[in-house]
Amino acid sequence: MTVQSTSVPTAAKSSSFGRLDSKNLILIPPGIMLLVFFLCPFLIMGAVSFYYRVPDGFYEPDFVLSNYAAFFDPVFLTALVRSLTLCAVISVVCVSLAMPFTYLVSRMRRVVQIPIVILLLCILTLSEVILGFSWTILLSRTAGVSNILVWLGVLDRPVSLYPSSFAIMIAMLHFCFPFAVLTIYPPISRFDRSLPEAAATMGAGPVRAFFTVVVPALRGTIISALVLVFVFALGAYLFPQMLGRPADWTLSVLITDQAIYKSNIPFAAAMSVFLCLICFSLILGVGKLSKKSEG
Amino acid sequence: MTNLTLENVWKRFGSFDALKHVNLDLPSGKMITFLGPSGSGKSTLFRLVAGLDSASEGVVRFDDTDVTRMPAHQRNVGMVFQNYALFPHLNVWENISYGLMLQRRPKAERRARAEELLELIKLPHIADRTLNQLSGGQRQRVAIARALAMEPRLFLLDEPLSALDAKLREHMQNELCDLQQTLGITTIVVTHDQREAMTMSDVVVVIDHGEIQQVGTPLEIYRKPSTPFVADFVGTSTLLEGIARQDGTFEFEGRRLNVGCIGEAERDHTPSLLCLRPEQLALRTQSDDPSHAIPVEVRLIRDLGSEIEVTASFGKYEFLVKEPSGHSLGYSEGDRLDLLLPDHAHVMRA
Repeated sequence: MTVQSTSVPTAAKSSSFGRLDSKNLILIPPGIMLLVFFLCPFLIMGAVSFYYRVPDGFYEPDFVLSNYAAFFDPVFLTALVRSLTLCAVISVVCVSLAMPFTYLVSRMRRVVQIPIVILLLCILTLSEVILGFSWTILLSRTAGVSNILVWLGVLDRPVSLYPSSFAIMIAMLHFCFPFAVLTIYPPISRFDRSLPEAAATMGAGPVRAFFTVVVPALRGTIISALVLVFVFALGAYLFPQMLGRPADWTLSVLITDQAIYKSNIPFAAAMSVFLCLICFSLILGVGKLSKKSEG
Repeated sequence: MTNLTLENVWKRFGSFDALKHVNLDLPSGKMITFLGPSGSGKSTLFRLVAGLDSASEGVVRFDDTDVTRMPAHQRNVGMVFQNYALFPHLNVWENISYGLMLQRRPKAERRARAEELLELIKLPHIADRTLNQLSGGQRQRVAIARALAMEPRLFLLDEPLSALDAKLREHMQNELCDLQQTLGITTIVVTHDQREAMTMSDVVVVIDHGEIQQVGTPLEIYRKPSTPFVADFVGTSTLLEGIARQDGTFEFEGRRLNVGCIGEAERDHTPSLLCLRPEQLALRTQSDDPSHAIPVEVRLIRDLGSEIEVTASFGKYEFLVKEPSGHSLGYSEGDRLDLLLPDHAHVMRA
């Protein structure tokens, strides 16, 4: 009896292992990629964050916590709060613009939808640098939009609209919007049209149907778009540098600044580790939250 | 209790006419079926009544109110969608009371109304369940309850029984009829199943190619089809081509058949069609009256257990005859027999 009962599960186990093996084979190349290009650099960065920085020099292997201690400096704490707020605002504004936009586009005829999607993909091909420079021109005193406002009689004379946090925000929105739309687009175009129609037969106008049915039914999608844009915005470091004052600089800019201009690599590494941890915990937290609300 | 009227309604999608010159005046408080094959325009007509699509031309009236340009959310119609379209983010009672939520009614009132409707659909204890805790049949009932929650002027059901299995379908048919009779609400059901239409409705509207073919009670539709399409789509029939004579006889393939032709077909001139239903026909080895029979050859005998279906043919015409099961027929496939015709049959324009 015992022999039988043990032999059956082992047979099942070995066969399932065999199946797993062939299935997992395909995971090896991406696994190696992740290991070499993601995990190793991350571990190196983690190690460097504990190294000792030689004043006016480079760094040497050591185990010191001073890099992390410097982080409790109010200057960096305010930068942290500022970064997180800026990114939160950008992701909320971006997704609240992208949701109705994508919904309306998805209800248009195919002939109209395709050029709009192509246009969004075109924006994606532009790099941060090009977008940043084009906004410095658009917001400048000599050639920018304020000239139009003067021509319209809103302003007395042209002004420069950058550097400012407003300029950073506009450029970041421009940059993140296509990502938000492309994240929302597949689930929204698969969305059951009869749901808003059912809402209509019960007395909901198009706008109320959108907010009481479409938005809540797609909350999982909305949350993942919010997280995507937030993380994306957190990583952008060129826009705050090009379009903002040092007072508007975000954590990513400070990291660049420490690493490249102040050559304080251990401190930059410590900040990077911190930023990564924030991102991870955010993604995990939101994932748990959306699972809870769905169940 | 709403009387639905459509006057000269057209619906065009590009150059395609989905509905052509539709005129309907439907009685209030009745069970009405829109019957037609897929692509016939029945769903288009239905959506037009609900306000989900707008008419290209013509007028739609509820009682005396012109609702042609009124959007769906102002029409107060209750609709059950084919896939039920229940809101996945709401539970059962929240789904049912969605319309009341839009009106910002207090929670206690909404809950009470939902309980009342759940009682009506005989599912009193499921108010707090989520949708994935419901079976297909329960979902449909919840969709019905939701559609009725706002005391709509019209109750619309889109292919309500197509997703249910045969047993449940029959059961729901009866329940829907009961529900309609208790509430006395004008109800429109869209279906492609002619059996469903025949058993459920007070009035059947047969639609094909975007045109109304016939409007009438199920028996009228069955006994007096006004077009060959209706005769063919509703039940089984054989249509004989010939000429209806003034004296009531029917001239067919050189014979003068002595059947009392009832119907509006023109007499003596243009060809008309004689509609013969299986239950009107019988097979005999020898007929006494040649003007009352057609010689046929037995093609196929199928014993279904409850009855025997016999297919017999005369030239290009095929007749279906039903014989009681259980005793021997006295003939077999290939035999030549006489097909006995009824005393009266329906004729229509060809």
